[in-house]
Amino acid sequence: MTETRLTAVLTALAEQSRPATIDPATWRKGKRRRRIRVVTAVAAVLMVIAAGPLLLSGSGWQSMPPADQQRPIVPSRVYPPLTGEDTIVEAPGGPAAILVAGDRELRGSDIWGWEGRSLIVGQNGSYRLARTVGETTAGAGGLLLSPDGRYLAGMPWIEGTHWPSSGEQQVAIVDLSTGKAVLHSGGGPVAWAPDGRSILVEESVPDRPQWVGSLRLLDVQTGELRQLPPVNGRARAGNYAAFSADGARLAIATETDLYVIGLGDSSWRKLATLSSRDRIAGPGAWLPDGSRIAVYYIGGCEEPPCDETQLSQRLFQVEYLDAQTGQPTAGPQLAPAMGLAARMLGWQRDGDAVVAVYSPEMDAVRRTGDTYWSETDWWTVGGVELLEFRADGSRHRLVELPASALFVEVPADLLDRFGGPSPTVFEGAVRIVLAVYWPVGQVGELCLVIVIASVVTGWRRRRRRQRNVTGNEV
Amino acid sequence: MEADRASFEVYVQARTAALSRVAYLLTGDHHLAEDLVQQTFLRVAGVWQRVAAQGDPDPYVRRVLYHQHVSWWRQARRLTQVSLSGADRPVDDRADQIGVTLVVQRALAKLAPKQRAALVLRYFEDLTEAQTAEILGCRVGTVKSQVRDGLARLRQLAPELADLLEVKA
Repeated sequence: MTETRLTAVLTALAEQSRPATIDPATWRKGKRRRRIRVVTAVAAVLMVIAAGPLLLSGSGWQSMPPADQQRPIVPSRVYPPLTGEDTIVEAPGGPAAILVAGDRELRGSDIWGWEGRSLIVGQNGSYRLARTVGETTAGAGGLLLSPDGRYLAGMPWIEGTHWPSSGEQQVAIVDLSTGKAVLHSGGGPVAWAPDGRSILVEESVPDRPQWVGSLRLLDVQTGELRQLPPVNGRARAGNYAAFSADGARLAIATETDLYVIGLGDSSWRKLATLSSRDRIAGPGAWLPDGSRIAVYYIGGCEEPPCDETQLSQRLFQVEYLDAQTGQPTAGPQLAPAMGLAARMLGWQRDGDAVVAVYSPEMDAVRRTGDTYWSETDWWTVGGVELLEFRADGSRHRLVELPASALFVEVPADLLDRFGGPSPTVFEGAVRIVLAVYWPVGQVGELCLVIVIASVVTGWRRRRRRQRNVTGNEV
Repeated sequence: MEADRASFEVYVQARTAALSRVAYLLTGDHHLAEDLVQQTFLRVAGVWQRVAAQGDPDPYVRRVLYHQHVSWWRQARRLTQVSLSGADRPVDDRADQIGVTLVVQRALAKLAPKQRAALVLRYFEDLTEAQTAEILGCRVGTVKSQVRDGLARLRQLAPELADLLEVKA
């Protein structure tokens, strides 16, 4: 009964109310308010997404430097770069310890005009981006680090350079300590000489890009060019030249022959015949004493067609050729590398080899008659590992690379200095998490721009309309 | 789009008076009640298509109304200082209908908004505890305690209504 009384009292009280006068424009205003709220919320989320990496990268929150700055060390783990990571031009990080190129967050986006954003980890632990107009490789015909890590060589599409309007083939040499780039004529980069003062460049023949073009030795300080003897034949892009450790000889491999050029007197001679299954092992093919040249013999699918599985199971067995006679000879017994391709960077003092081993891209196929197919092309490679092949037959990973890494390059002078400190686990985790949403972040940043532009445009349009209405009423 | 707009306007026309009554009980002020109903319809308009598609819009609209009311209180606490239209009138000790109404009105204004909302939902809108909990976005136990505390507070504020307030919370 009393419940009924309270209800009755409340009802009586409610009867004193007056029906609200509802604005006839409630529907339009409500819809508009909803739109504004949604846009604001989306913009806020996008700003958080975009601002996170930018704040982290701009806060000076960088990797831990090596304990001994006088003895640079290659970090044991490399994490992905942040979205707004400084570039080598914006904030030079000094000489490099390692260079990683690849896909996803290492690829960049055409939205901003840079499709290549290779990561350079400095000898001081800094993370910097080397941005290029297109996707690029590291080591295999793309970006090359000088032996001391101070210079980065590449085609003149690196940030800070301009592609020559004349169409002349040039090489860009970027000083990683200053961020300054210098262009030199003579051709694109092939391999650094061991002393780091000169680099082998090649001016390719336009209608025969896979043939060895005109080879020259470029002095990077003076820009002086020295023409080398001509070598005729098709070469495997990104892997056909190797300097001896003393810099006195240069091995050039075509698909059929191995030549040795004496750099003192510009002499040259054919050292050996190569089969389709033979490859010069890489820029570190010469053994340190200069007596032998390492060659990979490929087991598995070499003659097309080869599917992804077959390409991933190829075996690269090291063999040695006498540098004087070209005859097979003995050398360190290394386990074979398995994968799409292998590229020997060099040798350590204890006789172990440092090798980048590539795996094929998903669904990669080598088709019959595909004359442009390259086993170290950006579109063919799907992953990379940097391994140490020991003389006892064992293999060990030297650096843990980001999942999106496709190519890796280490300065020749640092091949004995692995195992250095990496960013903290926390920083690494953040970098990995941010890399996961890298594509989303890119699209998000674009959406943010579009949303802001739309809001501003809509606001101006409404203002104009209101002004017109007011003017008409007046 | 036009059909949605038409159905919304029909709904507004049909429900404005009822919602105004609830809003008045919650705010105790004609102007605030009008604002509350207006704000509620503004919010509902933005999502009307989705709300209407679910069937009966009433539960959602009611939820928006009550939450908007609590939100106002949280933002400015202005609803705690509402001026009741009948607050200055002398209270009739004989506890006749008019007098009781005025006393309840004044006492309601001094309750916390959630307590007021719980009492209005339970005793004016005649909803169950479960329905009240759903609208307020809380557990049934919370509704029970809000009602119990609200009634206790009313008794404290208006001892003359003790008989009226002997209800089962």
